[in-house]
Amino acid sequence: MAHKYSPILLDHFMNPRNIGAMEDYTLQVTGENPRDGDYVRFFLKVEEDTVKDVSFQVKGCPRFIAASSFTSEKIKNHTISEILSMDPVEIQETLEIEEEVFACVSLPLKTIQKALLGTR
Amino acid sequence: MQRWLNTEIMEVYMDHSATTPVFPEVARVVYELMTRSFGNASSLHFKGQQAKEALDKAREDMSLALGCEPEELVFCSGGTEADNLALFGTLPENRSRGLLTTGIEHEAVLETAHHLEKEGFPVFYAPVDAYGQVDLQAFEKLLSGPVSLVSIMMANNEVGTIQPIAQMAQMAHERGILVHSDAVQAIGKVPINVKELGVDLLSGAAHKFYGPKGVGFLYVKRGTPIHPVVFGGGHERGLRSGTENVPGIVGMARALSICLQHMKQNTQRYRMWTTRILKACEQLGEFRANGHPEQRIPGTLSLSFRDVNGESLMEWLSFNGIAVSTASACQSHAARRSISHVLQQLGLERPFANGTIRVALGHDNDDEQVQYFISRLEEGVRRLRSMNHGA
Repeated sequence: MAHKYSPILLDHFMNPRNIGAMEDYTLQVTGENPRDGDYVRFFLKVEEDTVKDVSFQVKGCPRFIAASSFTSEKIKNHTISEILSMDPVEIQETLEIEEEVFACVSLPLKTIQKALLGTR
Repeated sequence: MQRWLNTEIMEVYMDHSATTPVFPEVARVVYELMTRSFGNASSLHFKGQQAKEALDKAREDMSLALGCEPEELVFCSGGTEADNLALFGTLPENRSRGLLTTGIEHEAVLETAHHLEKEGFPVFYAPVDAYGQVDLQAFEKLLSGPVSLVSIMMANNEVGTIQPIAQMAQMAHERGILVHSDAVQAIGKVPINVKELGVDLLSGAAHKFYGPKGVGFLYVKRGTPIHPVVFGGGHERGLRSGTENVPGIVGMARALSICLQHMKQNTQRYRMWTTRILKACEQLGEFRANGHPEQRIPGTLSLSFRDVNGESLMEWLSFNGIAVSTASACQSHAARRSISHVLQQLGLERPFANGTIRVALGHDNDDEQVQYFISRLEEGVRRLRSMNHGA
């Protein structure tokens, strides 16, 4: 069946990894697009400068859900320094998302980076 | 953490307001005309005359179906061209008077109206109520302005609401104003008689009623002052030059005839299915059905769910083999969500407008498909809501 999106994007949209709330998180952060009412809320468990676990809640379009899921996988078990050096362009390119909606698909990673920066 | 698994996928097309599959019988007729009776209807030899006979017969059949005279039909490439001819072809060149339309028209009229405004024509927009029906009091007031043409769609493509065209035509004619109706979404779904409606111009497109794409028509009441916008060999009584698309036109006439044969039965089936779908939606909660509850196209539903993104719901259904459309999609050039101009005009609250899909049932749907759709819709809404549960 033909689809508008890449197989990897569809996989993350249909089977989002790490979806749901977390009870024993150490850091919670929300990134939102107030105009659309779309948002992603990440729950991070940071131990010894490393993100040991992550989960998220989300409302948004398929690209946004997939980008949030992909981001959650990408940062897990990485140090804060490593996460801060991650480039959202990689996410955009891997998921094969149009450059025009970069602001939307980069929001999950940028939200996490901003929060982690605040812990330093 | 949860995973989404889909094991059995059924292909279900429920986007018949976007386009329809061509009836097999129509496809056979079109093929025959493309491969055997392929002559140019303007040619004097036997091949040309074969095509001309087929064209004349189609014109007569279409005119009988619409309640007009054969020579009152101008065949063209589709609804957009018909709308453009109606508007550009009838407005006065000195721009002293202009257009009265609504803000919920299809882009074929709305964008043309915007262009006319830029060109210096006065253009007025009649307001609609929460169901999408024109406010007749406001409409009547606007008629007293510098208006020479009213253009209002018969049925809305997104929410299915039907306008009181006959009443508005009478009001406009009392002031000597011409009336055009874009009936693209209504033809083949509800009975249409142009004389009873009292319109001067009416647009249609074959692919919306199980005919081929790239063919449509404009009804032009005899005596209506209109000039061409396309020039050339003078086809269609000089109003639309260009070799006639005979296979398409014959296919369109055949498709309309089949639609009329099945209209009563299909209307009953669509009513039964839409009732079933709406009941399931109500049970999901935080739901709105848009459009007029009664004055509407059978089988067209605009469904809005709070805490659901319409594009995600559409994609979820698409992944499950179901084709519907959404009124809220990210525009790549703007990188932001665009809510349809129709839902904005209806005043639907943004949290609901963001979660809107359009379901348009058609001749090829059946009980099993409707049941499958309901089950996938219920699961999709619940899953998407569960993703932001507790936020």
